[in-house]
Amino acid sequence: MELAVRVVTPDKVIFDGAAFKVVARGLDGDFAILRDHCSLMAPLGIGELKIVDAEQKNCYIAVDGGILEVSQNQVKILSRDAMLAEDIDIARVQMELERSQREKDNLKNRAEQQREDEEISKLMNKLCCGRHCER
Amino acid sequence: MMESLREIKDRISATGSMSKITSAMQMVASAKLTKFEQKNKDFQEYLKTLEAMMSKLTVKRHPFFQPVNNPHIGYLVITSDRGLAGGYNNNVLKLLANKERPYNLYMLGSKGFEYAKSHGLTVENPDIFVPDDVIYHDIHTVIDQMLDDFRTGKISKIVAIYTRYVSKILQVPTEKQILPIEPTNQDKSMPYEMEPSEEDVLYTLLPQYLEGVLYGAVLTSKLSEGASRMNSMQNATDNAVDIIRDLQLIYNRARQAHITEEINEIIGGASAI
Repeated sequence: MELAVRVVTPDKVIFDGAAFKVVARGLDGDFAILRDHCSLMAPLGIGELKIVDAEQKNCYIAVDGGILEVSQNQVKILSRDAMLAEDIDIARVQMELERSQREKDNLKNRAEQQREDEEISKLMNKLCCGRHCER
Repeated sequence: MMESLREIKDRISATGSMSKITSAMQMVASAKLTKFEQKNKDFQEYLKTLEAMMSKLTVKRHPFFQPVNNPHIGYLVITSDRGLAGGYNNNVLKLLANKERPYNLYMLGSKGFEYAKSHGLTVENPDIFVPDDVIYHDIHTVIDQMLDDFRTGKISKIVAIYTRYVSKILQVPTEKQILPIEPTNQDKSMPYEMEPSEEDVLYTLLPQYLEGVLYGAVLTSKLSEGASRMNSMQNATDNAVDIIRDLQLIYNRARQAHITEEINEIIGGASAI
């Protein structure tokens, strides 16, 4: 039996399928889940989620943080915002990234700058993830 | 007599075109409702998974569980952007009107802002519209602001006032305490490994859970708005049909009277010769 993986966001179910391996970005670094993993709950950082299926094909998802739960070979990932790599519009992300960087330079407030920094790292993550599909 | 016949005719055609508009609006609302029902179903899965995860946590040490000593309660009122939705907005705002001041007010939807303006209330957050195809991203600024205000002690509670969707014919104006969280039952069926620590999981899960609950309130309100608009437009169309029927009757009677009068005049004229 393989892993049953579901990636859920408030707006829709992004991914629902079987996988051989899941690689995610935790708070302390990347970790992988294989079958028969013990029950686990772990927060995710901003990073990409790699889902490898039985034929060793990779599916990449850009995740803006969230939480991962493993229980009885079922992997659930809950994220506020997640996007399949093939759905990412690279040109648009790049434009938004440039805008965010410009905005950040104009901000004086530290808290606002931090927020913008987070936005930038989310966009960078989307960009990196989106490029998997280009290759 | 001629004039009043014409007037009745005009009223019939005016009512007719109005009923066309309301029935079109009803159809639009019902199409949107179907779409929203799907969206809500997708979201319920997200929320249920979050709730299941919450119930597995054993540690409950977080500012979100602690009551704060401050008389200010934060109310989040969810209304619609547009009218013609029956009593939808009024019912929600009536709940707010009964609240004791002082409170801090947060609004979603422009009808709420109009109400606050006319009643001299201050709204903490900038104007936010809730479009029909609302996504989580649209409303997160208000939610972030409320959670920040709770953390800094500006408000002691967060209560959402919204309309809960039960079915197409029943929507209930509801208030629900969001913060501080009332402890729920614990699911002790299986021990979980928490990575890196249970506190870390809690600190990630809680904000996400709260946002989920609040977004859920927005979605169910949107559903109610759609249903309410659909029903009120249905009623308007039915009323228009009734009015047209009555007017038609009056028109026919007036026309008949007019004809009778003309015949009388002709006969009278003929017998005079």
